[in-house]
Amino acid sequence: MGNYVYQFNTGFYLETLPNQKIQAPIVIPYRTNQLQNSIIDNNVIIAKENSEVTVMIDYKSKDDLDNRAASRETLDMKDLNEVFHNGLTRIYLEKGATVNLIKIQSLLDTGNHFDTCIASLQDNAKINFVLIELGSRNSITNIKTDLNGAGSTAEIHTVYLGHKDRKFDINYLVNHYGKETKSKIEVKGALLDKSSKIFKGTLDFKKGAKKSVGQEEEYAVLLSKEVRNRSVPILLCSEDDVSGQHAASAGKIDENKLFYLMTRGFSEADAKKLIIEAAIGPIIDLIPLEEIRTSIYDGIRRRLAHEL
Amino acid sequence: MREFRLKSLEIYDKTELPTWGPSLSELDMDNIVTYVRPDTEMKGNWSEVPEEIKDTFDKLGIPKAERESLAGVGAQYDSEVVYHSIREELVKLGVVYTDMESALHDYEDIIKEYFMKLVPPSDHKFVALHGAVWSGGSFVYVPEGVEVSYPLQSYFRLNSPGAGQFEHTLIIVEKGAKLHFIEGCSAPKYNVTNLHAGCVELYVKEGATLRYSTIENWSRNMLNLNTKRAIVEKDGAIEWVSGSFGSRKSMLYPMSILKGERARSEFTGITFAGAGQHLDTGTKVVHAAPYTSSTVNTKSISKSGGTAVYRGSVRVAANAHHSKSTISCESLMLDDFSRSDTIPVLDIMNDEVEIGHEAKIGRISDDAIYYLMTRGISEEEAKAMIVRGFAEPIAKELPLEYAVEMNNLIKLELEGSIG
Repeated sequence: MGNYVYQFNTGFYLETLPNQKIQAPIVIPYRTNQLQNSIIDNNVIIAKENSEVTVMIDYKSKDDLDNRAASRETLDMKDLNEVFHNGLTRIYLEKGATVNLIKIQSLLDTGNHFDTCIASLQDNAKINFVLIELGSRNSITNIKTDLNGAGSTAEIHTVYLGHKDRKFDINYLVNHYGKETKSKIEVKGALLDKSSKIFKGTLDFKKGAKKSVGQEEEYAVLLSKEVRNRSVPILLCSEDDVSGQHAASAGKIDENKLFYLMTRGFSEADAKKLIIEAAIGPIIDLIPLEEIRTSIYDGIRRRLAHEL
Repeated sequence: MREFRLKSLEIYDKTELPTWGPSLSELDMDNIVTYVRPDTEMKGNWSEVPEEIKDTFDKLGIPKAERESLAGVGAQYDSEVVYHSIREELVKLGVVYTDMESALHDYEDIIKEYFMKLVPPSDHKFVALHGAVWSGGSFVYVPEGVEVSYPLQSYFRLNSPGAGQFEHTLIIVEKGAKLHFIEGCSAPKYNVTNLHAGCVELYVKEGATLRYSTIENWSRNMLNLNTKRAIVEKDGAIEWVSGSFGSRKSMLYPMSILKGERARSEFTGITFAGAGQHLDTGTKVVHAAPYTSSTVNTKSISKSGGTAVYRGSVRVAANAHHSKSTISCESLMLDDFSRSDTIPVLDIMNDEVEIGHEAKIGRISDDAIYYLMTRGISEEEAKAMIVRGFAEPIAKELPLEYAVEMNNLIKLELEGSIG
């Protein structure tokens, strides 16, 4: 391991007991503020046999959603601009374990956000990622999942929202090693202004991963002439008895839908918001806490309206 | 031209091998002969072509096809074109179909204006090599408004061991004109590595249509590093039909640049990778004008340890509003020691677009085979039938004799290997 691992400034270690089902989500808030403008977190989750846990990590600039508008005058902007996050989360799932990992990132729009998740799964284990990427000037995220055990499953559901000149670089890799493994990657988002996004999703069916199924789906709503949207959905396959599928589509909002909503009395802006929310809603609804969902919708609404 | 060649060579020496795709380490340029002259002059009459060369082409059915359904034929043997002919009535309309060497003398101005302007030697290492050592190839010029109703065909045959073929094809289809061009490639098998680094430049002018069909069935000792590119003006259309069967390693990505408004491109391709083959193929489309559209439809089959890769890119420039693109890639794997990869890139710099991409990888379903077998069809035949069905949409696009050839090839490939 490189030296960097030992230079983290926060993090957690979570180990479940075998067969333990933890019902309530464990919420880990990581905040930046004027005193502490960097988060370098090192997180480890070990899910023992047949246990189940939901972990929600919330990266937020404290002054962002609540006070920023009000305190813009009084805060030293330089400090705020240097918001920095670099995180590493490692997840080990033993046989039959289930981990739901939710990450919400709403750091300041001037910050840098680097995030890496690495998961390793034994037989019949299941991991569900739900990733909400709202903030940061540069958001660079990586997920690597090794489906080692037979019957193991990985799902990755991602929502992003780009505005101003912010950049997203999303890179997901799922390695299917075990037999009858399943994966699903679903990435949905909207790009406004001069924002840009690169999504690279790789499903790699290794030799021996018989009867495995992989699915990858991407949908980008483009809301400005100046956006840049790049997608690279990759399928690698050295096993014949598998089924892999990917689909990507991009375009502006369906004008028929927009027109219909406007005939029903919605303003154009509201209609657009409604359509975007309808597209990403199913992913946000995977988050079990009502107030978090509300704050995400609020963050999306305010960014769409350029209030942030 | 000599200066151009020297400059290209300089670029070649400076440029690194690509860092992606199949490994080209086995290529030893010192062992590749860049120019092999067949022992004959170019002929305009088939009966004058030397017996041995004629025999080779006869077996490939070239002059027969010409008599039946083609407007003109050119045949290249090693580095030079040995036979060229074109129907009388087309000549009267001003259609030019000749070998590149003759064109260099007879149509100097046109060559100067177009030669390696679309694919400059600085593009990549092998196109630089092509610029330095090119020989042979075809030149086609279709004047404004002329519709060539029969396809023109060029056939490239590489017969000498350890040789490289570097033919240059330059086609200019003027305003409102129409052409279908067919290119066939083959070579017998030798134990040394052969190299094919041809270059195809297609200029499709306003409202013109060009269909470019290729069947590459090089022998299994061939490295096929071909560069093909088309530039399409306003309302023009390029249609690529591409079949890649032979060669040991292929890196082939025909590119369409949609330069004018409402220009469109269509790419239909099939790749069949058998034992020992690594075929890295795909296409590239650049939408550089408003209201342009592109369709990409590819199928790949891999078996007996072969590797088939689709590698493609579709790029929509910021000014190309109201562009549309549909990409569909399907891969079929016939056993578990073959490999099939799909690597598509979509790069969109505009919001007024409709882009859709779809890909599927899979095997022949046991249910389908079982069903056919209950209907009294042997397992072998059932598999062949499914593979043929998979390839059918592509075969439909091919000229008849090539479609037959493809089906035979599939049958041949599948025979005795399934059981």
